Amino acid sequence: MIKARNLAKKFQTFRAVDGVDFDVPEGVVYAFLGPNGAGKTTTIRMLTGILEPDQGELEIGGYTYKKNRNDILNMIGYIPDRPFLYGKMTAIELLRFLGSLRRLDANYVKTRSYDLLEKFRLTDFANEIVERYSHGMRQKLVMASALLHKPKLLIVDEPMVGLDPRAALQIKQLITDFAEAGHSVFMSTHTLEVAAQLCHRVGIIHKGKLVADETLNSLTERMKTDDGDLEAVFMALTVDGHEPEAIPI
Amino acid sequence: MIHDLIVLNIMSLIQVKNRLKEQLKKHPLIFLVIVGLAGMFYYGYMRLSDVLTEFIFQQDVFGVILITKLVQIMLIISIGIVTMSALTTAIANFYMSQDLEFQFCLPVNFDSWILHRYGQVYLQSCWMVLAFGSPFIWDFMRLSEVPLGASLLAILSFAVVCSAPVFASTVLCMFLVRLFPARRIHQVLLVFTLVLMSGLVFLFRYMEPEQFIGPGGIDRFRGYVDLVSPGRNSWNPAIWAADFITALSQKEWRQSLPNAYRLIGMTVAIHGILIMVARRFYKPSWDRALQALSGEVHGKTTIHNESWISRRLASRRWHQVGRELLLLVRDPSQWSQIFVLLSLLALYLFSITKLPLAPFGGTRYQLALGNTAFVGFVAMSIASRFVFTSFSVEGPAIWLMKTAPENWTSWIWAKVIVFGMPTIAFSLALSVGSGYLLELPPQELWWLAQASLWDACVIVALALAFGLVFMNPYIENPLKLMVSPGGFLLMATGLFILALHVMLRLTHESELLNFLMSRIGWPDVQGIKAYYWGASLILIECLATAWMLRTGLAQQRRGEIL
Repeated sequence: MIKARNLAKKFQTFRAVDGVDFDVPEGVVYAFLGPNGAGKTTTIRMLTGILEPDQGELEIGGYTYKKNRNDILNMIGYIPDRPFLYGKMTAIELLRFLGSLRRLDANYVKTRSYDLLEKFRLTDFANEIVERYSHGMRQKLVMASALLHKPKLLIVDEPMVGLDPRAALQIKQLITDFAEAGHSVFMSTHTLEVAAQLCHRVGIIHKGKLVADETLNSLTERMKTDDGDLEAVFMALTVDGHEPEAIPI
Repeated sequence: MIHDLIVLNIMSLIQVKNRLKEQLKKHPLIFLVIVGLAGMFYYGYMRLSDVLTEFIFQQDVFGVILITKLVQIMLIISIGIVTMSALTTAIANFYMSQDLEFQFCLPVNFDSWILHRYGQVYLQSCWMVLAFGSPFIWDFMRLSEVPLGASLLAILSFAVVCSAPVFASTVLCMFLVRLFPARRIHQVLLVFTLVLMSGLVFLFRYMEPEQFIGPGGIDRFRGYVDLVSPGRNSWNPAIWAADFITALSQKEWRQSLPNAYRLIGMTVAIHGILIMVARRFYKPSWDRALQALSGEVHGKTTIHNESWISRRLASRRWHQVGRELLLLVRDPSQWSQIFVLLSLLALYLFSITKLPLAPFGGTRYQLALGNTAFVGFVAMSIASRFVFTSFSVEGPAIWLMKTAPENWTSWIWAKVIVFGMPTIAFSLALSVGSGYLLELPPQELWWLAQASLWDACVIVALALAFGLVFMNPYIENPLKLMVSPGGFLLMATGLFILALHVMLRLTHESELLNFLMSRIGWPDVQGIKAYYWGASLILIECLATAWMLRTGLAQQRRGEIL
């Protein structure tokens, strides 16, 4: 579904992403891990078309942004880490507007919107302006908007932030079901348990470079850690050769 | 308590310093030019105040009396202006500021924190009144030949008087937020303030200040001042300060003491009462405001009826226009400024009928053509407020647009329809309206409309292009964007182009002006030549705007903005 080759992005002199290669096949949940400032969000923004790569090739579903931007964007559902939305719109108005942006049928948008709001337990607040929503409610609304057009690829940046346990469980189930239906998920997260639990493949980015890209089993085997101990692998690959220092109390 | 107050103030000062440093680092030349221009403007204002005060002061018999009355009026007007401004500023600082939660977690003395915030409200709502009122008091004291210390005390008393309305507004806000949601009060007060401001502008214009210029003007002015002089209410701090300043100007130090004590007493009382009120009322009202800020959905903002605009969101063709309109209509900080614009329109048309033609010496048509410069300037200000900022007010939610399979041109067209078209219509109304009031024949009105249309279209196109290139989705207040380097460049470029348009029209219309201008290298634009020059200008303007829009869109694609 995603094919990235030598992908790079520079901000002035700082190389945020430095020649990254990875593949995300169909039906796979791909965890994209890395410490703060490693280049995860920049990579995600390139995948979603928000940023244009300085170099490299990016193919999504066989399309490239240069030739088939709209085809790619119609295929993607994006859930950013911070749910910025139009505060003065109601949830139903926002979904209606996003449906128009994607040229979806108005009746379909109406049915699908209420269906999604019901699933995310937002029906009671469908006619409230988003400005009044809590962080978690906004996050759920972003998820509803990402699923509105039935995407084939879900790109998620920190999916569990601000969600209550019930909603978090719901999202885990959604990701699993999404992959089982033959679609793909590209997920960036700091919650290593979630990555270990849900993902088929793991990519670890550090200082803009991909330092690992394999299945969880092969990764733990290669790093000679206990099976499934993603935290130990993550630490070994991203701490610059020394253990994290204890914080004085 | 004092230590905490100092730390909090240092924290604010560091933020201001960093903001200035960042601006200086990002656009050093533009920053220095803006500072230089602001300095020149303020110097010019001080000189003007100097000349006017000296002129009034030198009038026999009643000069000093007139000035003391003017000081009284100025102090009372200042209280009114500061009250209006402090109401919205207090709500914003005490209940809606982003850093409130962070600051409440700090082990800072509550009283110090309240005083620090009060200080911020004071500075934000009074700085302009103090900056523009102080030169007048300074000049008055200088002409009275009092020592420097007395001049400084006079200005200090002015600053002290301004603290009374800030205190009253802050306390009123604390009471109001206990009863109503903070955001709603802020919106209502904002609209209320703008309506009042429009009223003040009207009041000033209908006073017909032109009657005070020319022979007999000073007598009419004295009569007017007598008419509007306030009564001598012994509880009014403005009267205390005015009497204090008058006593200082007459070097009657002893007589100034009672009012000095009153002012000092008032300052101490204000701070004491503020702390007591805040201890009793602020915390509960803050809890209420915090609930609202963190997303308490309680049904009061439920929108049950689908409006006409809301239904446009589902339209394939008009969804972007629908979104722009919906966000505009539901945001009073955006649409409320339309009150001021409408009052400006009325004032403009009123003023044009009062213009004396004799000193101008040209025809009415030439006057109307020259007037397009003023119309253009008004259109430029509107475009700079609404069209230029229209991209940035999208805010961080811009990611929704960037990840949608939408053609960017429909996004830009929506801005043209919602913000650009009304600006053009406003400009045409001003220009044709003033032409009509000058009793121009239909054919000349038609040419005037075309000239104004050209100006307005270029202004809107420029504002769009600059808005896209200098887009900043993280800016909290669109007004700040207007005084940013991008806003400044837009204003400078727009006014330059406008000047070219107006000169082209006037030199085409007046042979004498054409001859005079040709001596400084202006091309001959008599007859058909004007159309060639006009067409060339239009071509250059189209190419430049298209290039800037392309640059802005390329920036969007490369993601330099978000």
